[in-house]
Amino acid sequence: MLIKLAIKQLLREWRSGELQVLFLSIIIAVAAISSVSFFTDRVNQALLHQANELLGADVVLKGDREFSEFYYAQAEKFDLKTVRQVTFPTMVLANDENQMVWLNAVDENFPLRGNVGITHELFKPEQKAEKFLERGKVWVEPAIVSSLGLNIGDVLQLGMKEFVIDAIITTEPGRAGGFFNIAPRVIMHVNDVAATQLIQPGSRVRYGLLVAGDDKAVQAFRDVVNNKDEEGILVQGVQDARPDIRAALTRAEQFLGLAALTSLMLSGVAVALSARRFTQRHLDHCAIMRCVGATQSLISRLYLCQLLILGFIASLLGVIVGYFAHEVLVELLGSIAGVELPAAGVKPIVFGLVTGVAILVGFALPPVMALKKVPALRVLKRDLGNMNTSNVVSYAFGIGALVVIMIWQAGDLKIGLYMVLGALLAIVLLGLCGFGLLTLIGLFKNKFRNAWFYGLRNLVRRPATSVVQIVAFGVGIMALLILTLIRGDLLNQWQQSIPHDAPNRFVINIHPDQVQDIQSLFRASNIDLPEFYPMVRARVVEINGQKASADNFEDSQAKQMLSRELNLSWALHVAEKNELIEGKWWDDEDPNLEYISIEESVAKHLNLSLGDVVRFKVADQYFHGKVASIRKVDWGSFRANFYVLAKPGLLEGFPATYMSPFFLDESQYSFLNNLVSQFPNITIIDVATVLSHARNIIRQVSLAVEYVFLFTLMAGVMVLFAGIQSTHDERMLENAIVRTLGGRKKQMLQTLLSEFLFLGFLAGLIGAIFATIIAAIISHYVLQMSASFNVSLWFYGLFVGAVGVSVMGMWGSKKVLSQPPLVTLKKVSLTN
Amino acid sequence: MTETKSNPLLVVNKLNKKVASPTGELVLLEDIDFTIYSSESVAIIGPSGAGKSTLLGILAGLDLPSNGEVILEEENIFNMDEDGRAQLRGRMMGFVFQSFQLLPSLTALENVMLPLELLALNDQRETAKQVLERVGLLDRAGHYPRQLSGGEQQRVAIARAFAVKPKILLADEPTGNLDKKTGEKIIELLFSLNEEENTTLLLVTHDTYLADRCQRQFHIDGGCLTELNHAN
Repeated sequence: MLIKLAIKQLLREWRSGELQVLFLSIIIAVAAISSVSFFTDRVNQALLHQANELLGADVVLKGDREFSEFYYAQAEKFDLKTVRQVTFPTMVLANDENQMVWLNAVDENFPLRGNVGITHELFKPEQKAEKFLERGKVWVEPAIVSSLGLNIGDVLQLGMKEFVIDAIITTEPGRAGGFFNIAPRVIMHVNDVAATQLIQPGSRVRYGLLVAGDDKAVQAFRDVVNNKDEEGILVQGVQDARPDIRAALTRAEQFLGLAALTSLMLSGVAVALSARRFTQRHLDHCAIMRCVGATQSLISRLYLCQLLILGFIASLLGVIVGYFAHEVLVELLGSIAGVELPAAGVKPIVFGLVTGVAILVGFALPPVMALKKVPALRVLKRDLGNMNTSNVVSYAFGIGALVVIMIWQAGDLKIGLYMVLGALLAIVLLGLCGFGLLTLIGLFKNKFRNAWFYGLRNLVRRPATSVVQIVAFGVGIMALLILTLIRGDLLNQWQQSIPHDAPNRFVINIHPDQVQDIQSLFRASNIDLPEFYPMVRARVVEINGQKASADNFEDSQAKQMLSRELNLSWALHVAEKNELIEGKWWDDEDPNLEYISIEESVAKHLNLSLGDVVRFKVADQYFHGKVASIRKVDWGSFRANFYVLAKPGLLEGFPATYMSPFFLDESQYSFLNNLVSQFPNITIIDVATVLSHARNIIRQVSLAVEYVFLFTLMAGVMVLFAGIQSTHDERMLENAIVRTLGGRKKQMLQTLLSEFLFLGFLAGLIGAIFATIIAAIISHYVLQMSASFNVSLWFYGLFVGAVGVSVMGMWGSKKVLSQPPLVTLKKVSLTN
Repeated sequence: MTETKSNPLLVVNKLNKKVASPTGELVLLEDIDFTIYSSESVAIIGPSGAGKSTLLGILAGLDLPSNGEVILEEENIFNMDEDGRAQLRGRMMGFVFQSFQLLPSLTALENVMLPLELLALNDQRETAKQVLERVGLLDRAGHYPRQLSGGEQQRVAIARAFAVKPKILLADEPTGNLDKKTGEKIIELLFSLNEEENTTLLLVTHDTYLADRCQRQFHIDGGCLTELNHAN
């Protein structure tokens, strides 16, 4: 009976048009949250259920050296299948063109899980590769055939050997999504690697051992590997597959989640404003219900029931909208997983529903529940029971609900709390700024006696509502300015800050014997001779006598630094674009060689300070060095920068390769072909390709975040509407009285328009101020450039704010202008 | 007093209402005693501020007295809690107000249905339609209060009051917001329904024409109530 009555009353309320803002706010909040949730859930599920396909195996061992017989013997003992793998970047040559590629050399058992998808003609449907490659043949990714103008059956050169293209790869288990690949991939038989002569001491090569079989046997194998605890071996299983994808996903989750949570917060504000009006409009309703027999508990249950029904329906619709909306995110970022995404699970649906109902109940329940306290005597004395429903305590419930949702969304108490604190701080700052501007403008409110300035007075007269609306729009405008204008602007500025003749190619993997010949080729080709830097690949194994294991560090950067080899070099003097921030550089007088200089992030992540002794391992040899200085490196300089520099002599005798950054004019492109054909083992990295890859990722990610921020803007519109709604009666009465006293409609229009123009202007101003501050922070700390002032940012901020808010505001208050004054006055006299 | 009628419906004993004010204690009602019998029509008249509405509010259990008792059908309504009194109102009382107190978001029919819904009675829509027909507004059932004239709104309010077949109907200046002619029509309607339904009518007014239609009249002034000897 209660539910029936609640539904009946709800339908009547709906008809009166008062619930729409409440309802739409919930839909927007839930759509924002669940679109992000659907997307991340699908990628997570891909990681969970298709992890072995992502790995191409059940467990993968990775290391910088060939795996010893021990591992193969253990795998055989547990009756497990194995694949030997060697991967490294290299150059491919064909048709007098060259291209950097990522080589994946595996044996005929590949893949152990999933299938390789191939096609024999570009863009034709893929088919499963029934049998593995024959020796002397390769499978290549589409980018290679298109950029080098090749076809199936054509020949390409890798190192010292030529290979025939057998097919084009469409799916490759174990390959990361497009997000992580700078170079297209080539699959070849692992036994062909030797013939290419590409691997030399000091080469950047990763060895892999792919293992699959019975679950228990795999676990037993893992246990053996873990017990052996050999340095520099990384074990990835189904649970911890692809830490790179997981890390990227976590970051995407946080960015998108933050954008979605902003919509949620604004929707909460809209719900709170609407609920306040709902409560005030229902004081009489409740008094009459009490008068004709409704008990307090009936009223409470009735409204709770109404809120739950409303929240559930709105949340359900929000989830549906979110589902369709998430397809756009999949389009933009879906390739992050590198596999076909599985269907969405129920978690995002539950999360969306719970969020919607929690926000509605959290922000609307306290004021609405206060209705039960309306004295029935109000039917006789109308001044009784007017309640203040907007105190802080009544919103504590909603804010609490938001905090819980934020922590839930973040999936981590600490990160969740940081987000809550960050959001609160941002809101307080924005709010204070809005309040300050409003107060400042308020000083001039009486200076002008023109209809255009009455609107301004209206804003100043309702400071709380005005500040809330200014902040709501300010946040949306700020986010969009950062994601559109500032993103492009900063990237352009950063690119322009790179000197014209900065190195645009890096040649790596140069064997010491080849240095002189390569230098001669530079000279012969009339290209300025660049510096050649020695490079020794070494792993940190001990710090101050303590074993340095990745497991001992929480920090993911530290884990990464310890689980792979670092590039070390030596230098006599402090390199260009390097700045000593601690310690002193070595001098020649000191006969002691065992000194190293480390880059500041290495010091920070590995907790190193001056005087610490670090032990390194190169192949099977060890050496140690004492931290003599800590350097700040300008990574954006495109010079050869190293994490660790040793005093000359310390690295003598260890296998080294050379690398050289150089500037190549595009007209001298053929030089690269000469270089690669004469020295097939070297690898040339094109900075432009790396940059455009990074740019693409940034563009895609910011498009996705921008997209989620559209919900924030919509939530901002809801806050505006809720604000308009909450002052609707007041405005109607004002309008009616002014019109009765002879005010023209045009004047009323001007007043209203000016109010929204000022509101939008202030929101735009706040958006532009904070966007500029954030841009300056990014410029200074991330890109290390001096901040520049962007005029267009202020123009767009103010323009978008003023025009956007005015259009929405005028639309939202059209009734105020259209209703004849008599109707309003009659209504007022009836209800008083 | 003519106490030859049926059982007492409403007995008021030593009712007082005092409130604190900046100038000291203010006496709104003082030692009020009276009894009302079933089916009677009673008017309480007095000037503005005399305490009419305060008395009506207390009789309906909408407000609490400083002391004294109000016994409705042998039960002291102030021995009940607020919710108990609300339920009692739902079961036994009907209300008509000067300002009609219709809910603007509900149609005429829905306004009449509201108390029936709260009491979870059967055939709510049918009952409400019948009552609306009796007040001559069935054809306006789907109209909202803002689409009705003052007289029509008060007729809807009367229909709402009679819909639950109350034992006692309390009316607070039911013609106060209406012109004379409309007011007279409303009075006719009120009394004819009262007679048909055998309801007890207690109304507060300063309209002497309306008061004259009642069987008994009380005068209230300065919080003191006296019964007027009225032949009619």
